[in-house]
Amino acid sequence: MKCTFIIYRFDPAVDKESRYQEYIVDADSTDKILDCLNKIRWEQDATLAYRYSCAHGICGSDALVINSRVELACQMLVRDFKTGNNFVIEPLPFFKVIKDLVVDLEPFFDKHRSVRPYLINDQKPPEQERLQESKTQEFFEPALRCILCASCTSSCPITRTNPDYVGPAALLRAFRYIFDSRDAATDERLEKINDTDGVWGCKSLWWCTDVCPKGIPITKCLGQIKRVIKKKEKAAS
Amino acid sequence: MARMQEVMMDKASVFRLEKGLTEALDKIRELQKSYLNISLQDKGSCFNRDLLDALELGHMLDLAEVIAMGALHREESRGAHCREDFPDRNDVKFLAHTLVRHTDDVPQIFEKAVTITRFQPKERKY
Repeated sequence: MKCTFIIYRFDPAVDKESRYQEYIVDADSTDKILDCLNKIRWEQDATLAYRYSCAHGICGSDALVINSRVELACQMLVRDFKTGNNFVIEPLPFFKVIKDLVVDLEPFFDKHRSVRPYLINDQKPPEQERLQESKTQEFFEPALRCILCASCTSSCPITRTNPDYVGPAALLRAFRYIFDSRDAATDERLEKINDTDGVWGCKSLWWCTDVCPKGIPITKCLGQIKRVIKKKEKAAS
Repeated sequence: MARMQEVMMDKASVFRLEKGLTEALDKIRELQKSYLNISLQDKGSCFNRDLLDALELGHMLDLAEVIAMGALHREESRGAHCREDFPDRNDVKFLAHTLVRHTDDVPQIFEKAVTITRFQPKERKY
């Protein structure tokens, strides 16, 4: 069946301003949106730029705005949309556009790195692996599903108003290590995000949870960080 | 690209025959020739996926050629390599690694002996 795709185009080498270009694609209802973009690039316009890698919702490369909602192009099918086979495809909001649907995610990864997204433990490693209790693991398991697609951070209204806000994705990663009993830097981690550029920037607006393509309850996880900070403050006073 | 995918899927996938593999090899070499005249629609220097695809296609054609050559050379069935015209494994002739060397003409096949350590090679019976 015929589907109409209206796609955001911007090539800094040629265009002064962004524009929208229309393509007609012959697609099945079970085709992914990414399949349609591939069809356009292979059969109609090889200059269309967008990111993708695994095409199965694992690599997190192809988060786009599809019909005004942030989605992974590889996880959404044509039939998932009730828009009469009409699609508007735009790059992720908030980030700078490099070309067409490709945005510069470097600021996103800078923030990700700022929460030190790795295990910190200076103690001598035991003979075998460091064990984690399955109950603790279950608690932060949702955060492990994060594929760093940047959907949450680009959708977050706070990110858009405060450029220094570290954003839901980075805080989620911090959450993952704060509640990991093997990590020894819990206090430093909490202190680092104990301000309005950190976890208190979050006003529990739930946009991150709403758009997360992996169904992670991000807002709740951030709430757990807030709760731990308050508890510690109470215990100290 | 679609033509390469088609020929490799039809003739050089799980079940292989000498005839099919020879045809596949001919076809791949034909595609390699036409690849020399490849042109790009996207001439830009920013996030040029068209260029990336073209480069990848060149490498994949080289690999496809080597896969077909190796499969044709190995007249036995072993592991995931299943020749319907040679259903049995042949340790006398083929207990060896297949290596391929790039030359100015067609690539050249040669072999390297297998160093057997912990696991003795034996027929799979399940």
